[in-house]
Amino acid sequence: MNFNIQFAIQAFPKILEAAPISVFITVVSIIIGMFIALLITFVRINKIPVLIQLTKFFISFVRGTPLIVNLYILYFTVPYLISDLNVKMGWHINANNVNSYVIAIMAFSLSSAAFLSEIIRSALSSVDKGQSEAAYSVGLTKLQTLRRIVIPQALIVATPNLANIFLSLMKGTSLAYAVSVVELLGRAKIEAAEGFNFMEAYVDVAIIYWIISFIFEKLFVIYETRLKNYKKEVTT
Amino acid sequence: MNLLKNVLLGFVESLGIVLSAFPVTVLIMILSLIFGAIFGAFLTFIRLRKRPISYAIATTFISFMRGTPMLVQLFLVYYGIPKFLQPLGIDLSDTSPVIFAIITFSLNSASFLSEVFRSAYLAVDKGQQEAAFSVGLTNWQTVKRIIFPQALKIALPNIGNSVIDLFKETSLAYSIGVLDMLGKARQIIALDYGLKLFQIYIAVDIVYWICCIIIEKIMNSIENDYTW
Repeated sequence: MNFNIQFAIQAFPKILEAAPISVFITVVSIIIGMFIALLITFVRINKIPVLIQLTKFFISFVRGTPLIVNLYILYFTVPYLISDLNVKMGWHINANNVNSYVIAIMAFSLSSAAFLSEIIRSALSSVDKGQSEAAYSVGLTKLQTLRRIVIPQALIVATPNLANIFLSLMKGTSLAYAVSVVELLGRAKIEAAEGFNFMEAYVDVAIIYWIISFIFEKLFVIYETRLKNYKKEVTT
Repeated sequence: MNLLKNVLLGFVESLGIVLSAFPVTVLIMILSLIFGAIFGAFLTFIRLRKRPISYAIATTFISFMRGTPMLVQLFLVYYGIPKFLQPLGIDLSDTSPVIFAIITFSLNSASFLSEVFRSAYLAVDKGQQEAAFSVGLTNWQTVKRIIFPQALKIALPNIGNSVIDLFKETSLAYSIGVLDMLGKARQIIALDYGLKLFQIYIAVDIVYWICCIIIEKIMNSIENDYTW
């Protein structure tokens, strides 16, 4: 078997250069997705008539369709939308030059927003209703109850699921190479193309993804343990 | 009005083209699910027994499959297995990419399913097993009659989620040349110079969406009707 170890070792740091890009795309998409998910949760809690049907449709659609197809759709339609809006609203954004990074982040944010809103919903409903009732009876406002009582307890339930979403989005960013974003997988293919050393590059990039997943998994476990601190009993 | 009619006609035509590749997607998914469940159960068995060497191998394998993207796994299997078998004289250059796709999806879903099985098995109250032993059932009888039915009930929602995830991930097989729904869609788009691009992708989206809703309904009815 002619596995070119020399190439594998030499290409490893070059491919590693693209790792921060993948992490960056993941983190930004999760943050934006979280904002959208909070909006969706707000709509669902207050049961706003038209928007609530829209959110149900949105969540069902995003959870039932593959990310790659949505990515392709956004990649090809966003320039058209922008040039349309340019005409209708008098903007002057250059529609031909829309950065693929922006489109990729858009697609990943929408996708994670759907899953995150389900997590927020299940986490908030897992906190005993008596907690907020007691808080109101003591005189805390709605916002104060949320911030000091409900959210800390909801976070413990939400964190494992949040970790799952983060990690699967981390792996999902590998799809961005299909819309010419140079993240880890794209960089691996570029490095491999010169000498057709695809196998070695894929092994390298698999190891990099594995290590990054492992690190983030551990980080989330540490975060969850810290959140559970308040539950520790006082030992005499 | 004419424009709307053209768009709708184009959409119906795209739907026809996409659905012609639907059997390929279903074939890949069902085979991957069956092999994945069998291999996943085997992995769970190894992880529950905790014999040091096999446990270490199984844990590393599962960690790798769960920590690397599906695309990378597809490429590794597609390029790696022929290259690996070449010095042994086995020539795999004529094999259809569908086989490699099924191998990859089976291995991947086996890893996720083994975690589902393992957590479901551990969630069954240990008292059940102790009571079974005290009545005189053997190990195998306990598992088959007492623990497995209860574990299956706990596992069903997660299995449903895994099935839906697997179904959506089969769309990635296009990257190694499989002509499933997405592969066929991209082939038609390329042949038409990108003319019906939007309609075809939307058609693919809608087929996946409806299928996922159907799978969800089926899994819900299985969960509700499951009793032993």
